[in-house]
Amino acid sequence: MHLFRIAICTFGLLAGLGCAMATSGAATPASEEPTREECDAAVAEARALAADLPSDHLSRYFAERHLHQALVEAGNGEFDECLDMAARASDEVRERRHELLPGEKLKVLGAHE
Amino acid sequence: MFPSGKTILLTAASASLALTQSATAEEFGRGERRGNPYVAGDMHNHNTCTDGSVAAGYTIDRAVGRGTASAGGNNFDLDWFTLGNHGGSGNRDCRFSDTSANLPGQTTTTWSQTLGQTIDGITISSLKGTPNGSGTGAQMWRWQSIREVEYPTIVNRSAQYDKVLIEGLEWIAPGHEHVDVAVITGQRPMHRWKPGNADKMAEFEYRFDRADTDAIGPTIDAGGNQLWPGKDNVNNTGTAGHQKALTGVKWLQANYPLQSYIIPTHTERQGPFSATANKGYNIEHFRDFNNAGPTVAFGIESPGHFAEGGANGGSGSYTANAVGGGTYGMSGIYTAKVGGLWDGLLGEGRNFFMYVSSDWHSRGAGGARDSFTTADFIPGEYTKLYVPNAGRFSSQHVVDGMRSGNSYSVNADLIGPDMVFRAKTRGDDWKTMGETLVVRPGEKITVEMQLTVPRENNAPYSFNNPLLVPVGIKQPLNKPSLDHVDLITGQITGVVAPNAPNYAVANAAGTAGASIVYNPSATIARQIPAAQMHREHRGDRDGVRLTFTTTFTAGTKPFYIRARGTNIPNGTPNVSDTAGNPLLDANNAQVSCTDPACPTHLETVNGAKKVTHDVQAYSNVWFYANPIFVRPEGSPKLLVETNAELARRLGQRADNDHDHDHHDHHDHDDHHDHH
Repeated sequence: MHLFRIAICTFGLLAGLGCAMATSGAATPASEEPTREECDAAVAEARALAADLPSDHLSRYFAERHLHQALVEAGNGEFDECLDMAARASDEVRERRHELLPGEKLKVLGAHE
Repeated sequence: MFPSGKTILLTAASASLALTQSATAEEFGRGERRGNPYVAGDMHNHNTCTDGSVAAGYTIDRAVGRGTASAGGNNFDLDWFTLGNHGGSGNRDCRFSDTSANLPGQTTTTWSQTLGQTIDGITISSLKGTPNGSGTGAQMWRWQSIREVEYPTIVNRSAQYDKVLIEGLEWIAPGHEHVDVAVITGQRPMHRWKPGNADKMAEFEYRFDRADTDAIGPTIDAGGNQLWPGKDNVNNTGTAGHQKALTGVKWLQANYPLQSYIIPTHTERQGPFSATANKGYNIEHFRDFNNAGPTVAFGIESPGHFAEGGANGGSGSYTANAVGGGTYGMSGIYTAKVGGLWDGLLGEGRNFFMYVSSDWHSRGAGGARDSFTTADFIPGEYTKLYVPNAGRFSSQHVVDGMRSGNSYSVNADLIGPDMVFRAKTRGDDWKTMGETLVVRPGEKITVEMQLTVPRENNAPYSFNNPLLVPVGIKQPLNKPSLDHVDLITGQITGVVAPNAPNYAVANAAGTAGASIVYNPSATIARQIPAAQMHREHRGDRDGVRLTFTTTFTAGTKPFYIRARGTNIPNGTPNVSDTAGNPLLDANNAQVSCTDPACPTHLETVNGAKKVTHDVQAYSNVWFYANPIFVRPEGSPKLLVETNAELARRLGQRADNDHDHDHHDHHDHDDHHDHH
C-alpha cells in the first residue's frame, strides 16, 4: 500500500527550485510560449487547491501525481505541458474525479514492496 | 516532389462480396513469433532523460525483455524498439528512475549529483554546450544525452537482448508540436568492436529541435570551434518555425533519404496550426512535409497515452480543444474519420501511412510495476506497430518497412503479427499495403485478408467489457475479440499543387474539426462481420485464424483500399454509430463499470465508476491497416509509386557507391536473424 509518497525534496530536484536558468548564449524562448514562472504559479495554485482536500482523498493523490509530472515537464523545459498537467490537477480536485467507495483502497506498489 | 501529369477522374469501384468457404491460411502464426511475417515495435516513448518516469535502460528492459522484470511487472517482448524521447534538455540523470516510479533502490537523481561518476559503465564528466541551469536544475542538452547516455545504453542492451534497438527522437518541431524522428546512420549497436554512434541523430536534434536552444553544441578543439556550426536558433515559432521544420525535413532527405523518418504524432492534440505559436498541423503542413521529404516524411502517428481517458475525455492526452474534441476509437480524428485528413492525403495518391506507439511516460497514479495505469502503457503492452519481418532483421529494415507502407497498427492485441491484406486481379500477382495494383477497367479485383485473433492480451482484467454489457455481449477484457473489419475506399484525384486553392484547408479546434471532410468519396465500402469469416482454431495458445475475400470491379479511375477492425459492433451506445464509425471517446464515460471487479482507480460520477483509464482502453479496441492502391493501366503513376521508385533508385545508388568506394554505407545494417 503506497500513497502520497512524493516528497518535497523530490519536487525540488525535479524543478530545480531556486536555480535560475543561466542561459547566457542560449536563445530565449519566444515570448508567446509559457514561462517557468507561469508554470510555477500554476503548480502552486493547484497544490493549494489539493491541500484543501483530506489527506486520504483519492483526488488529492491523483492531483499530486499530476503536479509531480508538471514539475517533470518543467525540468525538461516544456512549460506548456507543465501548465497542462497543473490544469489537470486543478480539475481533478475541483471535480473530485476519483473517490474511493466504502471499503475500497487504491493499491500501489511501494518501492520497498 | 509531385507529378505534373494530369490526374484521372474517378468513379467508385463497383463491387461484390464473396466470402471464402475454404481456408487459405498459411503457416503464419504458429510456433515461435520470430517466424512471423511481421515484427512488433514501438518508436515513441520517454525516460528520465526528459519527462519520463523510468531510466532509459529500464524502459528498454520492460519493452523487449521476456517474462517478468526482476523487480516485478511484466516485460513485453517487442521485436524492435526505438528510444523516441523529447528533444531539448533535462536535469535528471536518466541512468536512474524517478522516485515516483516506486522502483526499489531508485530515487530521482540529477546530473548535478553524479558528474564524474561511472554508472552503468557510463561516465559523464561535464554538462556540455551553453550552460543551462545550476545546482539540481543544471540540465544536459539532449544532443549530449543522445550521444553519451541513451546510445551507450542501447549498445549495452543490444548485446543483452539480441534485438533491434534504435536511438530516435520525439522532435519538438519548430512551429508545430511533436514528431517521431530517427536517423539510423552510424548506429551499429550490435557490432562488438565498432558499435558506432548516434551522432547524426544528435546533430538533427541540436540543429532543429525548438526546445534545444543551445548555441554551442559539441566542440572539436580546445579553441571551442563547433562541430555543428550554423544553427538557426531564431526561427522556432509559427510560420517561420514551420519553414525551419521544413528545412529539417529537407536536411534529412538530402543526407539520409533512406536512413531516417519523420512522423508527426498526436497531431490533433493542440488544435489547428497557429501562425504565431507552436501548435498543431493542418493538411497543408503534412503536404509540405511529404513534398520536401518524399522518402522520409511518409506518415502520421496516432496518439499514445491511451489510459488517460476520464469522465470528461482525455484519452490520448487530448482535451476538448484538440481538433475533433478528443479521440475516436483511440485514434485522432485525422485518421479515425472516414473522409478525414488522412483520406485527403491518400486521395492525392501520396505515400502517407499510419502508425501507432505507446508514448510511454508513466503509469499515472501507479508505479512502474503496477498492473494498472491511469496514464500510459509500457511499450508493447497495449500498442504494437508491425513492420515486415525481413528475416535478417535490422534497423534499416524497420525504416524500410515503415517507408514501404507495408505495416499495420494494433491496440490491445486485437490481431496478431501475421495479418495478410492483399489484392490481385489475375494470376498470383498480389499487392499488399503500400503497393499499387495496376488493373484493366472492368477486371475483378480480389481482396483477401487473413488475421489471427490471439487468445489473450495484456489486460489485468477478466471481467466483461462494460461498453458491451448494454448490448448483451459478454466479452472478457483480457480476451481479444473481433466484431468486424471495414474496408474503406476512396478515390484518388491527384496531387494538389502548393499553389492550388485547396492546398491549404481551414482547420478547427474542438468537435467542429470533426466535421471537416477532405475526401468526400471515402466510404466504408465493405463491412465484413467476423462471424461470416472463415474460422480456423489454432489451439489454446495461438487463438483463431480468420480469413475472408471480397471482390471489387475495377473502374477507370484510381482508388485505394484501407482496412480497420474493432471489437465494437455498429450502433453500440456511446461508442459507435450505426455505420460502425467510432464516436467521440469521451462518450464512453457515460457508461458505468458495474462489475464487482471494476478497479478503484476509475473515475467516478455520483459514486458510480465510469469506463475510464485503462478499462476504457481495453474496452474500445481497434486496428488499422495501411492502404493498397489501385490504378488503371496506362494512367499516370501515383505519387506513392514514384516516391517508392525514388527510394529504390537511391538504394541502388548507395549500393553502387558502396561497391565502388568500399565505403561502409551500410554501417547501420546490424542484421538479426529472425527466421
